[in-house]
Amino acid sequence: MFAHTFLNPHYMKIALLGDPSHNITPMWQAFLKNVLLCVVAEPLVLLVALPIALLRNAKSPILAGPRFVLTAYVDFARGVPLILIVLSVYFGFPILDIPFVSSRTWFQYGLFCLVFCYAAYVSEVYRAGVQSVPFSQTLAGRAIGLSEFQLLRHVTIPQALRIVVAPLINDFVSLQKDTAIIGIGAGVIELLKAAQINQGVFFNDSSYAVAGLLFLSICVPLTRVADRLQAKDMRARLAGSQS
Amino acid sequence: MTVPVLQLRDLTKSFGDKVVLDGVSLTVQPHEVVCLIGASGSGKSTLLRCCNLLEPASGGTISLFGVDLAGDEVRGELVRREVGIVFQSFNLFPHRSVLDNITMGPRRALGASKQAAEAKALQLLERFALAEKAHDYPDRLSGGQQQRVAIIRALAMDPRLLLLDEITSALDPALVAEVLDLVRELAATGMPMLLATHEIEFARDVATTIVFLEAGRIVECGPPSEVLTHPKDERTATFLRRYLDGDVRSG
Repeated sequence: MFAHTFLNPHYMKIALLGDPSHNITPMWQAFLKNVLLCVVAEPLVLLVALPIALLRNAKSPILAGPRFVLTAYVDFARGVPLILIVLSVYFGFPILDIPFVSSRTWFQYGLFCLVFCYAAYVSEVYRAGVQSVPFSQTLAGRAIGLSEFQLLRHVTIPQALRIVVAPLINDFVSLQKDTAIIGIGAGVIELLKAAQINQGVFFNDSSYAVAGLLFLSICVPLTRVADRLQAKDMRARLAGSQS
Repeated sequence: MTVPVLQLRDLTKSFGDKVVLDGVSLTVQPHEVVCLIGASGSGKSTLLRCCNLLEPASGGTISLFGVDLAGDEVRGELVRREVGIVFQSFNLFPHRSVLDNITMGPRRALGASKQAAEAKALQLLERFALAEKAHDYPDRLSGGQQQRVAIIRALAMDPRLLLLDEITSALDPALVAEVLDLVRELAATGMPMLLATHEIEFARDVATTIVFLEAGRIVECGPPSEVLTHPKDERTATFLRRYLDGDVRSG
């Protein structure tokens, strides 16, 4: 009974490859939307999060204002469920009637939601990375006359990046899954929507299994890569513990 | 009269309520090697870090070749391009090869070309018998080799004064000699140095002036033949007895 409902090969095949007679989008095609969204969102997240992290780590009193604003943003973006942001953006932005903001595509709104949410998480990962570079490295960089910017560029950030690669991949895995939430607001047939339609047409839940497998096909390899990098980083740090 | 390399007048430094340096005055003349001795916590490291503005002094004046460094307008990075420092724990950059560790300062801070910086780095590595390590990463080197690379990294900047902060304290006793030999060689070339050390015999050998610090004050200061052999102050004598009797390590 369980297998018939959730893992029915017949319905799984139809879900994955589509069924022209029922005019159903193949799920592999729908999944391309999710993949595209996360592939475009991730670099943006990595880019946007860096200045947030650096500004929040900066000690200069001149930056107290921006620091406060960014701290509030990070708290907000990490504290509010993504689904809430998604619904607010998709059903709120278009009726605001603001020239640039109100006339964007579903894809652009989706990017905004993901970057808004994940840049906050990733900025915290960066911050932890920068802080885990020992202060002795900062001293060594200053000792050879580097400016504070050069110190970040050549000493702190390269070392912090090594430390954060694995946690960043974990966040990427999570972002990849959350593209499904975008589908709830976007009104386009991405993977989750496609699975729902399928389920509605055939009264069979196997399409959800297909959706799960497709997400897993990206998540699992990435997670393995993250684990491997983490183990490698740990070994390197143990080997280099003298310096 | 020659202009002193470094002149400290009444230097003070406090961390919160804790006074670490309490009115230190000393001079490093050209070609001089001044050794700071004293127990841990006597202020040696802080004194060195104040000299190249890694730590801002709380009071007093620091002048480098007659130029007063006290003003806030003096940028630390400019001073540190002239005054090198080597740390107890080497602090090499673990993500860069030996060669890149050495060339980073000349290339980034001094604007030297890659070729020029590398040629010079290789020359220095050659001179101190480390040429074959140029492309290794620091974690492949012994502690003694790492510390020698750290000294070369400071030398590559062509410093006019070198500060050495207990550079053998983190080393295996067997590796101390190779590092001290390098410092002796530098002293012989006339490089002005201000160094903190626990190696009393080495200090006797290499120093032109010994400065004994206790609780952030200079207790006694003079040539090694006086301070180390015939200390005038009872506190110096007690310190030396403890080091020379209790600790058989010698430079």
